[in-house]
Amino acid sequence: MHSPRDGQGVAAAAAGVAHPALGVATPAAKTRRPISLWLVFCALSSLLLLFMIIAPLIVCLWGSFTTLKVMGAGSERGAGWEQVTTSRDEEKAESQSAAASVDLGVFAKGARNIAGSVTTFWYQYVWEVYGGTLHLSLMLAVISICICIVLGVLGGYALVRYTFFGKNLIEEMILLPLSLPGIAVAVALIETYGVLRGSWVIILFGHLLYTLPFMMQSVTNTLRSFDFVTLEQAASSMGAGPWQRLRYILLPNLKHAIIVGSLLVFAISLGEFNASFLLNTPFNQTFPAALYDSYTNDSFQVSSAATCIFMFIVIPALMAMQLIGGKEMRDIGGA
Amino acid sequence: MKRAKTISRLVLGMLLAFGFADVQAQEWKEKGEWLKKLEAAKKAEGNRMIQYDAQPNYANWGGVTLFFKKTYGIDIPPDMKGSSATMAALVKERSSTVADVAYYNSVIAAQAAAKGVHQAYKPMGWDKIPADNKDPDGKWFSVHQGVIAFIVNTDALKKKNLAVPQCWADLLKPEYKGLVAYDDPTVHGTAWESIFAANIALGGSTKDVKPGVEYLKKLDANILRYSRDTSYNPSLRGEIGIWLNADGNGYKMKHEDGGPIEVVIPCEGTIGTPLGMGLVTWAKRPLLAKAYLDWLFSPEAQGIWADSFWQPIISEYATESAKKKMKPLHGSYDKVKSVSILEKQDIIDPYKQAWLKEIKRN
Amino acid sequence: MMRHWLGALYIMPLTVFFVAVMVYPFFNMVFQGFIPSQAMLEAGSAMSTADGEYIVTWDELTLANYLSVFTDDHIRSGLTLSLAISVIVSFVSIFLCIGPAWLLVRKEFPGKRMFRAILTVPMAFSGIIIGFLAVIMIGRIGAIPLITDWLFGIPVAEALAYSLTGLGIAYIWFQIPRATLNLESAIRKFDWDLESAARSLGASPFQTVRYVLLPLLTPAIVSTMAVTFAVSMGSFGVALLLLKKATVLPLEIYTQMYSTLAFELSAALSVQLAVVTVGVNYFLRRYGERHYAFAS
Repeated sequence: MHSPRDGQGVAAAAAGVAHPALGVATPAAKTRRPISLWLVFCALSSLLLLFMIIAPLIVCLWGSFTTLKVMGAGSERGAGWEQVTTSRDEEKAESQSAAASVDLGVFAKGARNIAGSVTTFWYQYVWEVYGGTLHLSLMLAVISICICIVLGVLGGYALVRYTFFGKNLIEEMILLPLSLPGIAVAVALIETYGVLRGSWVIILFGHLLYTLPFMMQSVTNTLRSFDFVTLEQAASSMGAGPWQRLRYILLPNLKHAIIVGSLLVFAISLGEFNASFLLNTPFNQTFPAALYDSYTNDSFQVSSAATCIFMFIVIPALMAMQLIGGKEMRDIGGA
Repeated sequence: MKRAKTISRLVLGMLLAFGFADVQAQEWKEKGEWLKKLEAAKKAEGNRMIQYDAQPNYANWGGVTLFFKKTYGIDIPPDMKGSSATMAALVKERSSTVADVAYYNSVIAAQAAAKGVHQAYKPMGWDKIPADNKDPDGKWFSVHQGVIAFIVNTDALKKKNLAVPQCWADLLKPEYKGLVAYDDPTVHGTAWESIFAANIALGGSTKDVKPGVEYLKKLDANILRYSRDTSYNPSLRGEIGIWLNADGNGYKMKHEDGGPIEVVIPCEGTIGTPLGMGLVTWAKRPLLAKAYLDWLFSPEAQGIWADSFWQPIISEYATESAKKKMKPLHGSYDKVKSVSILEKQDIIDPYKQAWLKEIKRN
Repeated sequence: MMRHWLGALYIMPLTVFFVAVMVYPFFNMVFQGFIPSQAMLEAGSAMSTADGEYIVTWDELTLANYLSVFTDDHIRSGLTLSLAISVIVSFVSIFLCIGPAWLLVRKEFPGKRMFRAILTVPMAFSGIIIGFLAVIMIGRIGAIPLITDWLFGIPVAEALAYSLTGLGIAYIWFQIPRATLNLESAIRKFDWDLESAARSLGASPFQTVRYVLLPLLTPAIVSTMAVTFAVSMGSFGVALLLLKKATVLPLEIYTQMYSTLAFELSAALSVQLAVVTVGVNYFLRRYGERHYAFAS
């Protein structure tokens, strides 16, 4: 495939280092060769993964602005009743003009009639058709964050600071959702709280179940990373009350963990599909479920635009988390 | 839109001037009365309701519900269940259901009615519905019908230098491998009708599904997917080359969406597929639901279906201009064999089971 | 650390929430799984009320739903495929992600944070989005076949999305961040001196890999597999969009719930899916932890 020289070049380009691997003092070519092979492997797999992630997103982004039909035509929802609104009612002009003067919004402008090769029309379309579901998803994400902060800080504090009966069990239980299939949770919730079906509360339950463990991990990791218990006991022995300890010790130390945890909760809640798909009803649809609707109902372009809107919201959150999150992020990637 | 309107006005004007006007404006005599009913319902129950199985791209429900929303202010969100899934959901959810009305293949609508998930209601215009397309008590009624056909994306076939198939037998040719699709018949009523059409066309009957099963087994090699969702868009995009579905969907793709689509009535014959509805027993918004069902049988709604290439169940609302556009590339509507809803009812479950056993799970 | 009633008090809301939303519904579901499904009831002689609802008595409870994973070939094939694809995808994604993870721990390079951030992107993407991306990339008229057809006249990867390979690629896609982040945190805990020591003592590269690196990496791989396996087992959005006849267990649960009337069967299958997934995850996690303690 590649000669070692080439390989080193690729690896160095990808890794941005011109020097041999750290920690190995011997400069002999004999020991450097396997390292460069290893670097080649690392670099190639990194490039492959980058391509795998970025390429579909680029296609999606292109699709959300184009009017070209390379990937095929799309359907028009408001079709089929031009004759009802014009011919039928036109004849009776004034008396029944209500139907003829209907404001059709995005549906009025048929996708076929868009001029030019670049358009933002698909975004307008998504906004009008699926805007409500985005609203619900954002609302659920914000409520999830609030509840996660309260329950997570309280619970994380209790787990780090105190011992009590059943502590290990509770710790296991909190991590359980990370390996619990979403569809199983949805079936269980529907079986048990069928009465709540049709309200968004039951969807919120599902979201909380999958976001709480991340917030908990973020909080407990931080509290365990320094001698929080001693610090707090010292404060306590110097006469600081619970409120003061919360205000001046716990929260300042947790600020970072809470921000990182909230961003993660936000991203996961917004993207949750496995559990909430079965919990959805037509009135209460989350955005990922709307995406599914869009994939089955709309053109490639509209689906792309919907996906892009999702990406525009979630990717900055993930990026921000990477940029501000240090230690917390490393240990959060699942259980 | 503006331009389109002007043009259609011009065309209409010309037609009128030359005396060719066959677009008969149907008078909706009861409209005033109905509007009062609707207002009362809106006051009592708000401005949105739920129809199970309202797929925007099936039978132009997108257009119908959009018209209803924009004109009368009642929002009916899309719902992607499919006929069988709708019945399953209603049977399971019973009084906790959120649905007010449900839409299915008429055969399944009748089945659902027998399972007690519908209440009797006779919408306005009841007498105009043909007797074999309604339950005498009003537990279910057909709203429109289509004909099972091949919906062919000619671009997808052209890429492979393939001809448009004309017969059921053509679909078995190995060159169509990965190009043919029909949806999961245990989810979608129309998909069930599609495989039943094959059975009838190839010599089967309402008592004997063996020819159908044998055919589908062979066809399996050429099938891309048995989709749980409607394949309307994949087929319009060309992801699917030949989709077995109702003709109306194909004509809408061709004439409204501007897709490279042709509709083929297979040479061995096919069957019609009526679609029906019912008022859900546990409807939370019964007044709105009744007003909506009334409207669906009005010249307006029936006319929308006629204009989007579905045969309105009240045939007098059909329009000549739409009929003129409903020209299959191959085959003719004389090949449509008639099988009554009643006859289909006995065979639907066994045939579904046979399909599951012999094709899907094999 | 101290024992105090306050601790129990603070943990109470969390416990109540988990019991109400997870533990109780789960046991309820276990019980539902014993109830004969609607189809069985209609076939049998169970009592039905005037409303058409069935009354199930204690002695009518059945194991049939739970046993169907053994008796029904299709469901069994779903479980088999779920397990197979989860294991294979776990191995492949670990193979692909170990390189980037190693780079993130051991190398400094410009754009490192960006690189890491990009690898995290699939984290929030649900299976359904990934299924869509798979269709537009490697579907019958996906971007890759279209572009290669245009460039070289041969459509590469045409309709790959609908094959099991395509399904695997889609699964790997959402494992990238999970595998990378877990491997990264595991590799960070390594004692790298061991490796350089082995090398300076004259061990050949092969020996270093075989006797030093591999044993060191095993716990990292195992604990990463714990996560990737669980996520693959639970995913159904991808399968929903891509599979033809094959099925995975979560998809089968969905099918049983919505296309047939067998809600109780789907409850039983959900219990089994949850038990298998959580069990394997727990076992792997424990195994990884034990070996960490040993390695460091």
